[in-house]
Amino acid sequence: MQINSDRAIQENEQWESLRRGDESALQTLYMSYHKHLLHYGLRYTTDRELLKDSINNTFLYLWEKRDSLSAAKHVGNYIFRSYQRRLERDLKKHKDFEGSSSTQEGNDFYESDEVSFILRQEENIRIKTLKNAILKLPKRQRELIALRYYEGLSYDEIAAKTQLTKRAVYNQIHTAINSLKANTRLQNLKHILSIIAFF
Amino acid sequence: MKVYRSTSDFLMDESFCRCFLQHSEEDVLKWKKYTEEHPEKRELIEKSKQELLELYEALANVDTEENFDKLRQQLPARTTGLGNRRYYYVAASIALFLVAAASIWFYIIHPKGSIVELQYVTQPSERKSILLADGTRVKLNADSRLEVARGFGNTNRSIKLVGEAYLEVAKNPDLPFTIITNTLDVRVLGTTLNIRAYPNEDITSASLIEGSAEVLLKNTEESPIRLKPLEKVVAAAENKQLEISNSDPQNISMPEYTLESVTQYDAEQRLAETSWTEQKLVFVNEPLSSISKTLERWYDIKIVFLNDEIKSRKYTAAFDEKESLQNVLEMLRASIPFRYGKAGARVITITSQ
Repeated sequence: MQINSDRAIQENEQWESLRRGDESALQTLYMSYHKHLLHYGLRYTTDRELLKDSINNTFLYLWEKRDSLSAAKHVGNYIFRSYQRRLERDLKKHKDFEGSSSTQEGNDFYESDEVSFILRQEENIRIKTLKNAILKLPKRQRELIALRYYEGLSYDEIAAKTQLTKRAVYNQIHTAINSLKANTRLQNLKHILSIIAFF
Repeated sequence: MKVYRSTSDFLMDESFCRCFLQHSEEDVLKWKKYTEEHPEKRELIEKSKQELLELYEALANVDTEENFDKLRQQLPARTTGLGNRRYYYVAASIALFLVAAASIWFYIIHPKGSIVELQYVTQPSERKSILLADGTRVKLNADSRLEVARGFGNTNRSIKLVGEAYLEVAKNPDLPFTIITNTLDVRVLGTTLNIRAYPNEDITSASLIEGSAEVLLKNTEESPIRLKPLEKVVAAAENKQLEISNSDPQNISMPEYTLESVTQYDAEQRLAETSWTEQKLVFVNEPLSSISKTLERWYDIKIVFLNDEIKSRKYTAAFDEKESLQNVLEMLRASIPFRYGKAGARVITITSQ
């Protein structure tokens, strides 16, 4: 599997900064790995809150132990292994650890099928615009589109979870999608105009 | 099969989402077949797929950032900017010296003779949460200073503020709480309020979130102004004039202050005035000259305007504070364009186009 070597070099730099106590390096690594660690954890439980706490505990541990961390040859593997250990412990505590830990041990992050997700692209301007539009949605709509498009629940499942009718869920999501479109189209147009004006 | 006319039609379809997000085999086959049968829809499907993946990505980023905020709360105090721990010790000893020097200054040679018991100072891009002796909670914004007088909590409840603070004042009807700034004093019993009094800004403002407050303007004969919840007083700083919107040019008498309502900037009625306490940078119809001051404080940079035209243009925008400076500038100039450049390690120049 081919690994983006620029990225590996950048991550090693981030790792060194983290060991020197640079909080922004911790944040950069966190932003790169959160999604993939969560995705991995979902194999074992659907409890997203538990998984997100495990991720935070992993990074909190890295931060607190930064003085004694060794130079990592492969930052991704190091983070992934710490997370595996933490997750295993947290899941045991919650007694719903479905998978067997031994089959996962030594599973190299980069060799696993997670690799297609791993090369995180810089958040581009389109995603950013969309993200800002999402943050401006009414709370309920924001919750519903997250359940639908991020957690991947069906309309029926969302209706059961939120105690809304399926019709209401559908309508709210439809409204949300349309306002996201209207907002982002406007923003993107402005952005394009500003680029044109620049030249 | 349904008729699909727009990307929304596809995005609302459960099977379409399963095909491209969960890659479920059945749905992948279904949509492969559909595309073959409807080649005219190929482009629309491609566009819908792109939108769906972007939506997923954006939602994932929202989730990540919210979870990082949780982690940040658990981290010990910020140490960014002090990359090397050895420098940390050097800096600490310098700080110790400065604190000693400052105490001598405040105890012995402080002007006005008032004796300052304690002072809290934040650097650019730094914030502090403070619990005062009377139970009042203070969030001190970047590049600000809060001084607490001796006897605070017993014989008085007076603080002096230079910069911006959000205060949840503990109730004590017997001992009013007074916040002293260069331009105005605010007297409260037990309330929540935000005060912005930066020496390098033209205006000082006091926004009342709940409770009641009395504002006394300095250097005027005005009687105290009573504030109701969600009102704010905006006063010209010393030697400055207020810019009055929709004012009659014939009317030359300059008011000492204006009474406005606070600004709700989103559907959840969050307030622009206190957005900084929620790690947001919110500007509502604010001139670039004033926005640049906030950016200077938060990103610890200097912004230089190479010409003046753009300074007074007004922008409305909301950002997460974790947003990089470059992105903030990009988003701002997307509404009213300007050019920016780097003129040194921490200096940004802005030119109108």
